Amino acid sequence: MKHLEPDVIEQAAKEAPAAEVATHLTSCSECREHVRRAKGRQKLLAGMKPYTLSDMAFRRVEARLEEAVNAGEASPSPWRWWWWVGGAVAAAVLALVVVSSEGALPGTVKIPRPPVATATAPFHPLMVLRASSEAQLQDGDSKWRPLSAGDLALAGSALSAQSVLLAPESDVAWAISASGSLSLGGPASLTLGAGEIVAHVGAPIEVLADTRRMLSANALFSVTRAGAEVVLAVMEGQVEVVDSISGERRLVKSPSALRWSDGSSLQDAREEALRSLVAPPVPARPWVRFDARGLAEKTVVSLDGVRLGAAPFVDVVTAGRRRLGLTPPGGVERESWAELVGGQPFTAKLETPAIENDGPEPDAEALARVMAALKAQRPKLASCYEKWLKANPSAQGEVVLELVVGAQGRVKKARVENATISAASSECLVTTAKSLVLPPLGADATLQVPLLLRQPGR
Amino acid sequence: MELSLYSWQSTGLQRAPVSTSAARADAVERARGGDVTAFRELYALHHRQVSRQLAFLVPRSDLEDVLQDVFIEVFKSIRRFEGKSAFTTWLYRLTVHVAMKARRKHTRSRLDIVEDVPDQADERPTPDAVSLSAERQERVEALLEKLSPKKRAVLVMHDLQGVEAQRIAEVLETNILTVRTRLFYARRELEALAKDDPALADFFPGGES
Repeated sequence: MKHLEPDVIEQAAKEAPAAEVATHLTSCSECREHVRRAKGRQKLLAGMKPYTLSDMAFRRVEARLEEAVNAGEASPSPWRWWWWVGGAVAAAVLALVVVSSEGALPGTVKIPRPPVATATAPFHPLMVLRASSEAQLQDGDSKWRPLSAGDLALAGSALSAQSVLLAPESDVAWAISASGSLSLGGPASLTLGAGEIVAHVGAPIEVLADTRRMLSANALFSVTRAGAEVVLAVMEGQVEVVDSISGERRLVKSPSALRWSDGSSLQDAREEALRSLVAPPVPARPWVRFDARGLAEKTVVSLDGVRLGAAPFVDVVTAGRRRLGLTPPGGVERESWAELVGGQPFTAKLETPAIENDGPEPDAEALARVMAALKAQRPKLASCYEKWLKANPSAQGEVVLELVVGAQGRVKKARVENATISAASSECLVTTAKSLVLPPLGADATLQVPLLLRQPGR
Repeated sequence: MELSLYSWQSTGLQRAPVSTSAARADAVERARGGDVTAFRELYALHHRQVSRQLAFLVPRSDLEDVLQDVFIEVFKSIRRFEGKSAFTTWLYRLTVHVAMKARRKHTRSRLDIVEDVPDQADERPTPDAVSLSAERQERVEALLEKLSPKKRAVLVMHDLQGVEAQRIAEVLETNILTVRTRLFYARRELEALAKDDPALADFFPGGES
């Protein structure tokens, strides 16, 4: 008898088969068996949800792509602009440059012009209200000279400054070129974005390049990032994002993640919308003194993905639930959520980073010996469960025991993950695991041993 | 005198342009011509779609790294894109190939003792405990990892992403017969693996006899 084709079988497993197929199935037990198995498999796979990445992860990838490209992973020739911009970033991060239509002046940074439509507008002289000590101005072909209050920045002038406060003579749109990266999270204020910042302001705007902060009254910032134009409209504390890809216009999910340079958040300002952003209101949430002096020296601390500093240091940050990252010297970053509450001590625990298995891989034979040794020594681990049972006769749970085993078989580190067992049992398992003696592996290895603690027959 | 700076905007509220298919095609063309801003645009336009396509093709834990690898490959290879097919088709093909390659690398370097400890099979949760779909998902994902890259790719594309066999053949640059054969063996292997997992074996109850 000719059997049904795989496609027909799959279809028959999905829905009631056509009459012809049904007839065949009544007389073909083998085909019925195939349909039954296909049904089982379809049921098994039904409802599987595709996984994706968080926005933070997408941003990490984007940042790493930029790094990778800058590091020369790809052929450089067609990407000269990229190199050029990278060089410009390194040479003059966040320097403020105004270039005239005649092109770049000596000493200025010229950012290549991408093929986007440009608009022109009359240039009004800008008066320098305040500038940092190292700020310099260049008029026409003259040399750079220190910038001081009262100077006029004319068309054709070039400015280089860490911090400068400019005021237009009248309400005028003006442009700042800057480099850096845009971060919508973290305790810093707006971090100036990749390639260009355009601001249309009706009031003085202050750009503090060294700290990458921006202060302004009602202002509209347009930041080009990753080629997609995103408009941040900062109006009375509200932040809207217009995404050119989707065309969507929406409020930033967590405006409180955007902070002014004094640490107050836009959210705080929105709650008191009538107050001016120039003089930000006192944050509704209190400050927290973040004391990192107890951490190992040079441990890098970050909050919400933004670097706070390297231990030892003491800083003041705003309170709230923050994503705390700790990177020990030479180690990998460990992240955890931290509830920073004013007046309450907070202890940052530095988890021991897992040792990467970079060495040669242990061979299968060595692994088999280790597995046998683990099996043989399981009663030691079981003793932890027995102790727990004495305290709680119905105790049961699961745990993954992670062992970092040295080349000679010594358990260097042990920790538990995904534990649904008591804390005392977890601690006992870790202590016991460290005493295990395993055969030499020939290379460092990290082993994960899932354990289910339950009484036989349950 | 005029100030001409690419970041210059004249006045008023800046309206961000809405992306159109023409703009997307333009981004591809500019990327081919060496415009880095266009490369950034391509990432902005396609990263979510590529991420969705990578689901199940690579382990959840590797997704971020493989997504990065895909765009590095786009960066390296876009000059070879000749426009004979749609860019998205080219990108999908590249995504699948990078995913398969990534998994091979993963297989070589992976050390996973858990799956090799035979005694622990009887300690796994009973089928009842797998009624939660999240756990079933986790277990099925683990099974997918045991398939070879070729079988996994075909099974995932066909049975989870709903891609037709003919299109899979095009993406993998093979013929439809090979796709069907791989699919047959992949399904059979998945079934056998599921039967070995006490928590999933109930999906395949015994036969008629």
